[in-house]
Amino acid sequence: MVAVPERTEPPTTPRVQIQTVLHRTAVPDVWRWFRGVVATQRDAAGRGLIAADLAIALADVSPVPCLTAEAVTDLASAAATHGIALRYEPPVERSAAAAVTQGGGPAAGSAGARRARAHDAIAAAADERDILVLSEANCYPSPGALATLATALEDASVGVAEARQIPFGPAKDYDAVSGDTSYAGLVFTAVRRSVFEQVGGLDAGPLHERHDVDLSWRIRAAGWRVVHVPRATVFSDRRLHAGGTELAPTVSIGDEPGAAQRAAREVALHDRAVLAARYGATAVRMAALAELASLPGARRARLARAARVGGRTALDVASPEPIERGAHVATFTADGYAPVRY
Amino acid sequence: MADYQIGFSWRSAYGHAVNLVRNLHNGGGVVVDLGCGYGAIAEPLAEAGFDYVGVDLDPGGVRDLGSRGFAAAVVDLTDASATRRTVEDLLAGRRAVAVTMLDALEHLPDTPAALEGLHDLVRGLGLPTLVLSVPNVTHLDIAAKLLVGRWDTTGTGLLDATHVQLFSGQRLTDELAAFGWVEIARDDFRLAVSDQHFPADPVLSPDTPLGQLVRMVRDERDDTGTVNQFVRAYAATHSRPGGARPAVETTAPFLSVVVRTQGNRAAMLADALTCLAAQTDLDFEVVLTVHADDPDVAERVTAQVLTFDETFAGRVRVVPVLGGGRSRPLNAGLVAARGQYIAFLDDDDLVTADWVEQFHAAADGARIVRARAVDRRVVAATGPLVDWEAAGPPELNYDARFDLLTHLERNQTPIHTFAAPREVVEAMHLRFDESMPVVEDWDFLTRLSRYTGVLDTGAVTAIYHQWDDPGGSRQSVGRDVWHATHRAALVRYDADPLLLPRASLLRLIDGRSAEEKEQFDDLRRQLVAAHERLAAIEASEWWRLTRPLRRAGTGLRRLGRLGRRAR
Repeated sequence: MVAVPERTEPPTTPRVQIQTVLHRTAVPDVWRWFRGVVATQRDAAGRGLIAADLAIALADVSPVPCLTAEAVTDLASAAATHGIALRYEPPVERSAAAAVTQGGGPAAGSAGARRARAHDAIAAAADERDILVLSEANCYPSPGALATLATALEDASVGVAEARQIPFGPAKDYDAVSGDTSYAGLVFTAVRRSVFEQVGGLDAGPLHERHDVDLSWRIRAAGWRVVHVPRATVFSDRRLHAGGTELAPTVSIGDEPGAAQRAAREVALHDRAVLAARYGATAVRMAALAELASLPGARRARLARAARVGGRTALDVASPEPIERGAHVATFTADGYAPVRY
Repeated sequence: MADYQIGFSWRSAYGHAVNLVRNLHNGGGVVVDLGCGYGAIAEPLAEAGFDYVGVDLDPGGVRDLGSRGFAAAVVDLTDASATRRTVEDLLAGRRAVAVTMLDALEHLPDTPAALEGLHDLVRGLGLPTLVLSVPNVTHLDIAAKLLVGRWDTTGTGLLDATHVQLFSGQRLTDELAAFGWVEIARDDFRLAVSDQHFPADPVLSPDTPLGQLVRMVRDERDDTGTVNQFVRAYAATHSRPGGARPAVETTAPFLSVVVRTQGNRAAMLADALTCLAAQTDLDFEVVLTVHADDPDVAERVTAQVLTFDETFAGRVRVVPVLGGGRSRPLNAGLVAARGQYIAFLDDDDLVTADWVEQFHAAADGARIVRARAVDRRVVAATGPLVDWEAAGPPELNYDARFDLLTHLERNQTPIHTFAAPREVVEAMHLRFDESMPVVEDWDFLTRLSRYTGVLDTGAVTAIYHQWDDPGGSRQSVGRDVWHATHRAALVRYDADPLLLPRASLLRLIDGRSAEEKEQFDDLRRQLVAAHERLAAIEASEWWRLTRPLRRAGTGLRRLGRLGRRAR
């Protein structure tokens, strides 16, 4: 429950699209997300903070569709009972996907990049929507989450408002009074659609995973604020593991990193080098490239083979042009993109 | 036919029955004694101002009563209409205030028919009180002897060879309730040593570990282990339910989650409920106990629940709880729960999405299922934007495997990391100890786990919040209260033998050996370090230079001693 003041006569109620991208997502998880989205929308609309005509968009980037036609029909019917329009974009054909990735750099075929493109595609089709809520499918927003984020966006200087993840989330710092933060994750984050379009959407760089950081920094470089809204909570389905079995995504508790963590390290270094180039942090880029080059050869070679696209490999880290004011908004900490709280 | 010419004593089931009649009807009236035998209670009732009439199948008893001046008649109690006619004849228009049936119900072959006929009779007589006395087949002596393979019937007593029905307290309650009887008073007759307390066997002795163990097990289940006769008074309802037994709950969920809140931290409660709404296994219900005296609080919490999606909100029942301490809402939750298992969640703790799923996958219906928690430091309201937030990373501080001895020393199982089989909890009448200001969950788990054992899932599915600032119970009561309460519970447990799961012995001895070896090694390390420091001092330049001074000092001390001896 969040303390959001009720408004009786809102000047204009923003129209919202909540969107997610499915990638090998189980049907029950889709329904869980849907249940949460419907409840948080109902709460926000009931307080007059958003328009009641919510749009839900799901894009599927899985090798085979996560949802059957019947499942889509069921979801759409359930949405309709709440006055919600639901759209599902099935996976594109493999040949079409390959065409998109041709020439897109080594990261273009990664799952993260496919998700980013899919978000952009369903955002582009969100006609007359004022707010986009970019969401992961393995989450359940608390009932008050959307109302709280919508309230944060009433501040005209705020371009992005990010919900806090429970039971675990990144320990990145934020301003205790204003909520300003370095970047917003994409578990459940509200973005002004105009701002999203102004900066070119999510897929604007040769990144594997950290499109969230890139989007936030581009938005901040364009003069908007990115705020963390801890009273808007979203349950993110991250499991705990201790010794042995790894479940993804997981929170590691004092164990040696497993293979998944090692692979993630390689991807993280790649993205760090790309972001460092774009945001004018030469020393950071050199350090990331040096560590990437020092990773175990066999593993590196496997990654290179797996990511070979258009004659290039994952080790071919792109060097995008620096963006204006990039160095002013970027925060490169020892191993991340924001100071940590603890 | 057995000889039931038993004398009256106030310290007997008969005495207790007469006491019940006197206490319930101090104005006198007629008492009808069904299955009266020789009418042992006739004179005491008459002396108390009651008119006594009796009926029995045994003509000898009836004749004897007649010879003592009491109205009595022969009748077969299995013939309901004959019994009714006979009783009405004996009453001759008078109104009965009570019907007694002492040591008779267990002789009637068809209990439902007997209770049905009894109900009809009592309604026809203007609803007098029914007083029953029935032997307890679950007396500790019988239970103990059954364990060692003994079943000794006798001429009279608890296992009278002519008994055709056997009653536990629960059966008596259930059967009477099913036929429209409401218990209004009880004065059970207790005998710690019954007529079944033979032969001399360690299992019967209160002084042997085996006997103590059997007593402990029996006493944990209910308090009727030493009841020799159930002596209870009932009122008949106007309509007879016709023997309908309570409907078996067929739609019970796997898990009842008892959430404890005082309704004063809405944001935390919202987060805890969000964790539950996001479970991957939805085979559960939520019993949301709102521990607050102000009824508005429960209303606010209900409104909060209704903001969730219908699938989840429909699983939540809000239960207002008044008064009492920390245990009161937990007990209210136990009463309201319908699930096969019960788990608990405080409103300031969180769980992962597979919390229910992991319990469900491991549950076997008999044992406690245990998961693990991580600790996480949290702080409240660090700024205007937040009600609480994490102040540290998750830390895994709890053992993967439950060990009762370790548990007794320090709790390794936070309240939201175990699920208890509800049927066992109910069978044991187990409740949280409301006299304990803290550690009530540890105590509950201790008492239950001694019998059920614990099944470790190994899964880490819970987050236990350690408050850096006041808010949690640890801070609000102080460490001295914690220690005192913990110690008092240990003393209480120590009154019983300690039941350990198999394979505990070697673990205990090996653990102790390892501890002793560690202590020894530590001492040896200290000794070696001391030797090394001493050697370093003796090899130092400073030691060499000060040698003359030490020698001079030694000489002076010797001279001093010699001087004292000379005096």
